[in-house]
Amino acid sequence: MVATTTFFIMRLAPGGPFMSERAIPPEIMANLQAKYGLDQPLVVQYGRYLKNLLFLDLGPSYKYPDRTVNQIIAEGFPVSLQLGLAALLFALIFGLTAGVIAAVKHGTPVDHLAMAFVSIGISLPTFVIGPLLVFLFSLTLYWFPPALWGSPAQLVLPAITLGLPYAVYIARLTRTEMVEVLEQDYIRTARAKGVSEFRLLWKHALNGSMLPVVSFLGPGVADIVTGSIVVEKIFAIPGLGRFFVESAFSRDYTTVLGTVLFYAVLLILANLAVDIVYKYLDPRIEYQ
Amino acid sequence: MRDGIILALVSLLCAATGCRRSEYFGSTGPPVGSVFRFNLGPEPEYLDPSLSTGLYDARIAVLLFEGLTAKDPQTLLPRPGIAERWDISPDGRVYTFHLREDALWSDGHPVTAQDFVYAWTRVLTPATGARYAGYLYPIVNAEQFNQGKLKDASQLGVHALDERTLEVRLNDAVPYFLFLAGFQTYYPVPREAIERHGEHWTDPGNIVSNGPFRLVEHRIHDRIVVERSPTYWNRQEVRTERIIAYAVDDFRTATNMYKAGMLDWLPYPSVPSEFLPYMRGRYKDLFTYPQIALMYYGLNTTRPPLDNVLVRRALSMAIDRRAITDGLLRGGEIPTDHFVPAGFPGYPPPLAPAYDPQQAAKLLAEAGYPNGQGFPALEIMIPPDRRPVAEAAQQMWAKNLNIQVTIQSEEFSSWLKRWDRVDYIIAGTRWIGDYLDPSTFTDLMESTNGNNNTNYNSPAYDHLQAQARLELDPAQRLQILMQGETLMLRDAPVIPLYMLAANELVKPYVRGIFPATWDVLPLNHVWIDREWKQSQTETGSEE
Repeated sequence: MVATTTFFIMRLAPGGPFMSERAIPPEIMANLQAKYGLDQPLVVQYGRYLKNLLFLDLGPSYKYPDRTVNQIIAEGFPVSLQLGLAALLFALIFGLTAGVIAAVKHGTPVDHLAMAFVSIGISLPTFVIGPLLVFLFSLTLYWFPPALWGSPAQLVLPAITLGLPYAVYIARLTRTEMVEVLEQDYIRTARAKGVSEFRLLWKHALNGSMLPVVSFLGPGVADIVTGSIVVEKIFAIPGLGRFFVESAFSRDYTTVLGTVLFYAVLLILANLAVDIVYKYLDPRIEYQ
Repeated sequence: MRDGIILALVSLLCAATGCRRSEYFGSTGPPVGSVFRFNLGPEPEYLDPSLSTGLYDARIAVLLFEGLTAKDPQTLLPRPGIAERWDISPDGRVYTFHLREDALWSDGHPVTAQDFVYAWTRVLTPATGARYAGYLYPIVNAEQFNQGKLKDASQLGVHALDERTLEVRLNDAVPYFLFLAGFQTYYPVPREAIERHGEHWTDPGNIVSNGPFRLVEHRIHDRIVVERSPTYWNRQEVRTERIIAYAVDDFRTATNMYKAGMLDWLPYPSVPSEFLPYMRGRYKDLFTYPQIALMYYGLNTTRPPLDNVLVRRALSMAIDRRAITDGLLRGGEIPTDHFVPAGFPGYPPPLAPAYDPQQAAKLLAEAGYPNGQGFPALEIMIPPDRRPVAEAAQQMWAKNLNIQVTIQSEEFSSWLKRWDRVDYIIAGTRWIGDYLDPSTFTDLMESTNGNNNTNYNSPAYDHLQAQARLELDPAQRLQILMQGETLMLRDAPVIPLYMLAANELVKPYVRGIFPATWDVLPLNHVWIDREWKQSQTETGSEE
């Protein structure tokens, strides 16, 4: 389904992978088209694509002919994944901590301050946060490099930029849920039984408040891993997100198809994983 | 939106760090070790010089390979490369190149005349799909062979007379052939490596090259690392051990890297144009060089009302180029009424219709539209980044001619398709010269040229072009080309606007980057001057 739709929609867009501002004589263009089989009827091309897909062969990139799409994904995805996981880790640690603290200090200035911060975090898009962080921590304080990929220091700013919107969302979810859970009977019982306040919060209460967070995390994980396009651009990170967008502009058909398919599979897997985790967190959930 | 925010940040940054006191943009500490780091721009498409096309490909090709001739980094004129000398026949059609004995591939094998025959035949073989194969068309039978009309490669006008002598036969005398011989499409390529590794022969580990540097690392969308080649014949001239070319396509990010001291050179077009008005005059490491490149409007000469030459001339004369460059763009662009940019040695400037709003209004009236009455609505088709200039033109036409023009902004690939099909009325486009000869521009407006795209078809112009091709006297030839340009500009199938400018940031400790009208330069002479601060203090200007 995804392959078919993308394949044909892509071909509806005007232009082709070999267009450039400098005209190519029609004969040379014909040579190029023939080299990649683009001169054949669309249906034939489609059939050949599907056949190769069966063998998980996504074909050569038209834009970077010395790379196959498989290679591009193999090189780019681990980078996007690392970035995504780092961002997720930041989002979880920051979000849960802030959420719990705000819930415990419910109604106090600490709570209001945390929630004000959350509102700001939610309303600022990454392309504002990113340059802000770079300005502050790279160009003024010189703590972290402003771009590129490879060292742990280079991971910090992009992970925070990417993770912040999720962190504040998690904080808000946690706080709301936690405030409710803290009122519940089983917490009161636990407290009566003399469970330490720390254990009470971080084990009993948090477990109970996790469900909405987890259901947010499902699409969130996929989002965070695929949604790094802007962050990858701001911080010049060689991840997969870049190809996703760039290939569409340059009409690099095989790369567009390959990355779309890859992300589609990833999304399905992420949602499946969430369903399984659900069951684990709340044994009351039954699967038909 | 984003531009505004970043600009605000830059100013804020300056308030915070007091960079008003600094003469340079950001850190001025040289890198550790013999390394030179620059931003290439977007990821190059091809490392294979036979297939390479644009600026970014060329910048890498010039590091890894060398042709028969090479560009002198200061004068840009061709100087001996792999060929140590050459003979040219009196009719200018036969070039005999003598290859130097010490020219070696990075695997130690000598670079031979056969390598050139192999490389050029490969470029012209239809199945190779080389986009720039047209650059070899001056060679006898090259065009027929590339188009599949001729199958026998031995009939191409390129022959190895022996290991070190290459004979090239041309269709016509091509006065700029020595430039072409140094162009990337003319570079030799290693037969053995290509036959062994196929399309992956340019991967690090597989690649064999013959230029001043050799490839050691390539991470796509990240960096290309090269090191001084121990086999390059002129290795004594190469002053840097290692060059890192980053592929950062977000130019604001690249500028941050330069500021933070992660880059030593930010060549064109990596400095964002919106920073220029702020940087100009403030930082000594910002340099502006006009380029042999033209921004212009193409007019569809077969679509009414632009099929009327009076209308075309009126449109051209109603545009105040200087207001666009000095008032709007302020990036060092140079306004021009000419199609061939200034800077070609010996080329006399032609006569051209210049900005004259009264005369423009008069012409429009003569064409049957007094004060713009009854003039149909026109549309300027542009890619999004050319919008500000289009808006300026729109206003000038409204003010000076009282006509309404709308702006149609198209995503780049769609724009390209319509431009290529001449499916527009007015289109904003540009042309960047390929070699230091006016014909790199004048050829464009021939009726048969694939880049003409205006339907301009003037037998008189084509005739002058053909005449210039046969003319062996260089001064006389330029004179004929200039006559052609004058004639063409009077017909006004194009509205020249301005010469593009390259704005670059070069750290004060970098030596060997010269001002150039060209954006692809050999980096053989580049080196890091660790003593620069000392010499600065001596001349009395402390940071």
